[in-house]
Amino acid sequence: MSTLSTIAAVRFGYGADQGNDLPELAQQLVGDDTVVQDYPNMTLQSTADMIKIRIALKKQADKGDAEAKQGYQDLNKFLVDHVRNSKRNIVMRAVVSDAGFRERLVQFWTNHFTVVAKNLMLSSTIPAFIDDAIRPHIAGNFSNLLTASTLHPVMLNFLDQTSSIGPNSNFGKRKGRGLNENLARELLELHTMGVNGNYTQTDVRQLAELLTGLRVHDRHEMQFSPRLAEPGTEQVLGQTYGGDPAKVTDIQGFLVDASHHRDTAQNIAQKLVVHFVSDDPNPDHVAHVANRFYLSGGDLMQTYIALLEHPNSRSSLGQKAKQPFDYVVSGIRALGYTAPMLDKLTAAQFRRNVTIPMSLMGQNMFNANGPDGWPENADAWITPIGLAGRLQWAMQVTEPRTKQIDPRKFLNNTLGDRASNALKFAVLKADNKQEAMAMVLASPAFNRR
Amino acid sequence: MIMGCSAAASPLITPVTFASVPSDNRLVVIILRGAMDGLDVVRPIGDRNYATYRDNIDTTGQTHLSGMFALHPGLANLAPLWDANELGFVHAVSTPYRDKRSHFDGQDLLEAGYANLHQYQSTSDPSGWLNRLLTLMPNVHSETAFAIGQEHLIMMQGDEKHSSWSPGRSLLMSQQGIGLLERVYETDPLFHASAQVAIDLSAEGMDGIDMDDDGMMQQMMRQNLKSARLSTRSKELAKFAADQLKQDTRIAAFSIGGWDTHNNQKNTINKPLAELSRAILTLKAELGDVWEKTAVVCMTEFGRTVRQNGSMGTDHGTGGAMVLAGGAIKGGDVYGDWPGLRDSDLYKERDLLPTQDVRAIAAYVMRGLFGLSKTDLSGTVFPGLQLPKDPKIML
Repeated sequence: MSTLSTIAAVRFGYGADQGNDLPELAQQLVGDDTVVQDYPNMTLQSTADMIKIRIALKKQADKGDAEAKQGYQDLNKFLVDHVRNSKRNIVMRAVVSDAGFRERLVQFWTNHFTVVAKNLMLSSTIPAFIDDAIRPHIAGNFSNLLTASTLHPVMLNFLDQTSSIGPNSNFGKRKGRGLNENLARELLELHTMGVNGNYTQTDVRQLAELLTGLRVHDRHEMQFSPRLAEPGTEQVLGQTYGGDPAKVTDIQGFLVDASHHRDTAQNIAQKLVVHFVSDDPNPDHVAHVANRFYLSGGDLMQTYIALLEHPNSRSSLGQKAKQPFDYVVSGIRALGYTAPMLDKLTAAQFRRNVTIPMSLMGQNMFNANGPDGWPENADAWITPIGLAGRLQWAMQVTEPRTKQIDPRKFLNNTLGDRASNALKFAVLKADNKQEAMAMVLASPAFNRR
Repeated sequence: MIMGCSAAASPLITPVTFASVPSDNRLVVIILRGAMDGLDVVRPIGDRNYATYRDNIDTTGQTHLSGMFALHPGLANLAPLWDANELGFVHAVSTPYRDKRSHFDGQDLLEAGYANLHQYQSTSDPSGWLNRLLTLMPNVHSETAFAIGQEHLIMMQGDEKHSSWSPGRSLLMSQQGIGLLERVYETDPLFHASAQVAIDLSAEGMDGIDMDDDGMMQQMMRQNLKSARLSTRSKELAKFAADQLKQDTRIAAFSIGGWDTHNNQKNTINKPLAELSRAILTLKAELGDVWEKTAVVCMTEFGRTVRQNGSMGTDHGTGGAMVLAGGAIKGGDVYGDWPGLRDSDLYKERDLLPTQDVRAIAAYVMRGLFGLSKTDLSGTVFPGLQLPKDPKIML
């Protein structure tokens, strides 16, 4: 039976040295988010400036301007480097943080509000989305997190809201433009009520009408333009919203109401328990979290405490497979790689040792298959291909640590009594330290949580 | 990197089943993820209402298939296959999935092949329809069927053994280390099932690693190049599929994404069309004589709205289209019962009304290729499917 601090570190954190008592883990969310300052990413405005210059250069280049063409290519290269460096920063924040639960929640919510890097503009602005819309809001009220994410320029772009126009607005009529349902549908299906929630196609349509008017100004600012909005009121989930003139506060009002919906509480609770505890969630645990979410009006701290305090949170470990990001971060921590050691790596070395192996395990950061994010089920990750990626990385990443670390101590410190007899035997019998340590990282016990 | 996937349990195969499925034919299934707009790909130009819904489509380069249908210009490279009766389409098809129009539920049902989502979600160990097909085939070994690409294909999941492949992965461990590791994995069924084959990679070196595995260089290049030149992924997958199908493999599956064209469809649909076209042409070129024994079935989770949305794209709909290719199909026809496009013809006043279950078409393809009985098709492969009369899509 694992101790409480082991459960806290493994189930709710990134392993090594993040032990704590369960409900107290929520205290990690109080206080400054210092790792963001240690590993800062470019702001949306700076990124938008680069993108604007890039567009201008492209125009010049297309007219045959050789200097502009060179500048355009350089800027493309710069943006690609920026995306790769941002991924590195995101990994490093999780590696160095003492607040593992906070970092796990950042991953959870980033995935809940997935933006897929469909093109260079989206991939270069996802880091700013995470820093603006996710990180500052994970310990507040869900309505704030939902509002920040929904109204963020990157989300508006990703789910096509910027091209959804009220068909009966003056602009819509003049230009023959109309609705795009994408954001409205995912808002109900993924971000709030869940696909089993009690909403209809009519609600999707009406919500799409309510959301018209949202646009992105100058590639970095959400703006509301009443002239693009569908005139009149909308009925969503039995409530009336809007009216003339259309206002962004009507949309915000809906987001607050959706945050307080029973189905939203159920959906978020289910997702939290599935993500942290088990692919086959304990219904009582889900109900406990859902009730707290609902009764507290979407207070996320209260919700996390409900998640942590329920006895099922202390059930035995091993019910989940770590996703590749979590596997790699916890592996790096277990091997005792420090920030100065990792910061010395060149960009190419970091990619070869960290981010590309994650891709090979099936998780290319920012590139989930769709807006529903990454799968949770263990069997989606522990596939022949996925496991081969893990094995290979385990061999690759242990090699530089063989001088410093004794495999038997490594086994004991990393897995303790979770190590199977077969694994203890394998570590003793392996004919070199690298393989012995790789077996620890590749073992079911380390890959599960 | 090739891996056999050892099965947890071997299925019961009756001698009758053995005898009934002696076949040298090949099946390739391509999942078109994101909901392909059948109304744009196989355009019902003979329906007088079509032009009112889609008044701004680019007709330059579209291929006239019949008085009723024309093929999107993005698939123009496939026209010679149509002329050779190696290409066909089925219109107004869908899975039994209705109304919520979620990609993810829709794809799950498409790959699971059950009668409804509840059946899939309430089964403790759900399988995919290709895996259930394998249970009916004789002498199945790990390379009879291949899931190709990095993702987990629900379609192939289940107890029956199959293999998976994806570009670029390797592991170097000594034989002794491998032996020890195998014993470590024995205690965990999930790891045990995958490990046997993951470990087989030890012979390969690190050379396979593509430093652009994060796709960023491709994203940068995409700004500069015509989309058709970038369809290397589907070409790679199709080439691998063909290499296997020329040997012992009989079933291969992979997916092509990018069909969720909410925005500016005139442009956004070209990339997935180029990928699809490239995949089919690669299969034909690489398969050589085996192409004659091959049927390619391309299916999507649902269709898209009949009307364009407000941003020159289309939203999630219901009825869609299927693409069939290969020498083993009859080809040269657009099959299906056309439901019409008048307001009163539409499903829920917005979508093409499905007149046929996508599973029925897949079932008749398998019947044509492998001689499966109707009982096997509606009992095992697609439980609960009501088989309609033979659409006569196979030679």
